Amino acid sequence: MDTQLAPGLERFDGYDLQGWLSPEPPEGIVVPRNLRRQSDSPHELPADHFLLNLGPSHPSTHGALRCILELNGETVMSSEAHVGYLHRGIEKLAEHRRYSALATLMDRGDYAASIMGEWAMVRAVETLGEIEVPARAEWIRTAAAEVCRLASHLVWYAALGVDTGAMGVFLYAIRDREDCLEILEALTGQRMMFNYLRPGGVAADWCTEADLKLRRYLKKADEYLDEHWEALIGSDLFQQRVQGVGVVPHDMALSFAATGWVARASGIDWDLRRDRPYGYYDKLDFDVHTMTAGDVWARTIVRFDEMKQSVRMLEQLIEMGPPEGEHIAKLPKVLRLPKGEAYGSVEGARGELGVHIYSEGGDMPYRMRYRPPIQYHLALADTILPGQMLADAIVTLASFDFCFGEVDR
Amino acid sequence: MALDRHTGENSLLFIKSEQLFDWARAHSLWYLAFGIACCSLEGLIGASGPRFDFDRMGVFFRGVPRQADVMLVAGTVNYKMAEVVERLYNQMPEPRYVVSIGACANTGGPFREYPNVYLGVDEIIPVDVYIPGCPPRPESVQYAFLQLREKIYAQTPERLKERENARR
Repeated sequence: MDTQLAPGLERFDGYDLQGWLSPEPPEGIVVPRNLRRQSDSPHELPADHFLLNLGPSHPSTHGALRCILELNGETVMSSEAHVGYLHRGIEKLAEHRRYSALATLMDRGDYAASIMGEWAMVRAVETLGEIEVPARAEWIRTAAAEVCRLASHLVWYAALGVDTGAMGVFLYAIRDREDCLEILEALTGQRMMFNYLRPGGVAADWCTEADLKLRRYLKKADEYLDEHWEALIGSDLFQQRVQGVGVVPHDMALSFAATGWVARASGIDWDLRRDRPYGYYDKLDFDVHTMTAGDVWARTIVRFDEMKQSVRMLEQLIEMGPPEGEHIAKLPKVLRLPKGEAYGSVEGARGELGVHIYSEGGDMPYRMRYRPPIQYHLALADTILPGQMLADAIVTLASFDFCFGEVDR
Repeated sequence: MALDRHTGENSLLFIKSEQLFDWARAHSLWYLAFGIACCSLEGLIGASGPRFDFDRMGVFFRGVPRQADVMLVAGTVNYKMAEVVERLYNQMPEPRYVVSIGACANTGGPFREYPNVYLGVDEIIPVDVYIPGCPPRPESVQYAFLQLREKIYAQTPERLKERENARR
C-alpha cells in the first residue's frame, strides 16, 4: 500500500531517536539532551527535582503538545515544549497544489477557525495576481470570518472552563458553537474545513438559509454571552484563580512577536482589522479592547470582548445586507500568477495569520510560507512557565488556545 | 439475554455471564480523550456536547488510557505521533477497541503524499470501525459507536466458545 509522493520527497522509515537522546542514556530514564541547559551533565537532576511529561496525550494540552516539565515539589523549574506531533507538511504540499486548491490545506492549518487561513491565502494570491474582489464577496467573507471567530473562541472558552474545573461551561459553550456551525454549514456546506474562499471571491453565494440562521443566532447571542459571563468569567472564584497567573509583560510580548489577543492583553494596541483594514472591516464600527496586566485574566477579558465585538459586527453586517453583484470575480479556470511574491495576512482567531506566496509563474506556488501566530505564542508560554505552580501552568497553557494544526503545519 | 417466558414476568433473568458482560460493555464504552487534529473537534468535543449528547449512549470521556475502552484516533498520525498512539493503545486494558475517525486516520487523507504521514492508523494498531469524512459529522461518530455495539454483541458466541474450550 504505497502512494505516489510529491516530487523530490522520499518515504523514510522513522527517526533515529538515538541522535535525540544522550550518548549513554541512564537506565530507565530518558532525558532530552537540552533540557538542563546550564548543567554540564544533563542527565543528573537534583535529588528533589523530577521530570513530568505533560502530553501529548493529556486532556489539558488541547492537541499534540508535549511539555517536559522539571518540577521541584509543585513548582515548575524548567519547561521544554516539544512540537511536531502533527507535522504533516502543509507548506511542502502547497507547492503541488493549484491556487484554487490551496484552501483545502489552509483549512487544516488553523482548523478551529478555518476561514481565517483561507482568507490569508486568498489575500496573498489576490495581491500577487492583482485580482479585484467584488464587494459582495468581501461582505460574505467578513460575515463568515466573524461567525468562524465566534465558533473558535467558544472552543477556547469551553476548554478554559474545563481546565479551571468548571465542566458545565463546556456544555454551554458547545451549545453556542453548534449554532455558529449551523450558520456556516448553511453557507458553505460543511461544519468545518469549509473550502469556501476562492481567489477572487467565494465558492457559493449568500443564501436565505444562512441569513435566517444568522438572524436567529444574533437574537439570542447577547443573552448567551451574558450567560457565559455569569457562569464563568464574572464569578469570584474564577477571577481569584486566574488573576496574576501566567503574566506576559509588555516588552516580552513585543520581543516574542506576539500578535492578536495575547498582544492586546499585554498592552499592545494592534488589530489588523482596524489598523490595516481589509474585507468589509473599514465600514464597520467596532472597538479594540486592550488590557495591560498580561495575565490569564486579561487574556480572558480581551477575548470575551472580541466575541462581543464579533456579534456587534455581525449585527451591522446583517443590517447593511450583502451588496448587489457577483460573488466571485470572472477568472480563468486555472489561475496562473505572474512571477513575484506577496504576503497576505488577516487578524485570525489566534493572532496575525499570514501567508507568504512566492511564485515563479505558473499555476502553483513555488513556495508557500505559513505564519502561524500560535507558534510564537507557544515560545512565549514555554518561557513564562518556569516559576509557576503546576496547576497554574495548566491554566496558562489553556489561556493561549493552542491549535497544533497551525503550529506544526 | 432471555427473559423467563413461562411466567411472563421479567423478575427472573436467565443469562450467561459473557452475555451480561458484553451487554454492560456495549452500553458503557468510555473513550480516551486524545484528540490529535481537526477531527477531535467534531468527534470528541462536538459529539459530547449538548446537541449530540454522547452521554445518553453511555459514552463518556476518560483522560487516562487505563480507564478507557475505546480509543478514538482523531487525526493524522505521523511518525512522531505513531509511537505515542501505539503506547497508549498498549496501556489500555483488554478488551479494547479502536475507532478511526476521518480520512487521515483511515488512509492518510489529504496528507498521504507527505512522507512523514502514516497511510492509515491501521498500520500501527488494529482498527474496529472506520468513519469516512474530513471531518466526519458527530452523528457518524455516534453511528460508529452503534456499529461497535453490534460488533461486541457479535463476539459473544466466540467468548462462550472460548470458555467451553477452556473448561475442556
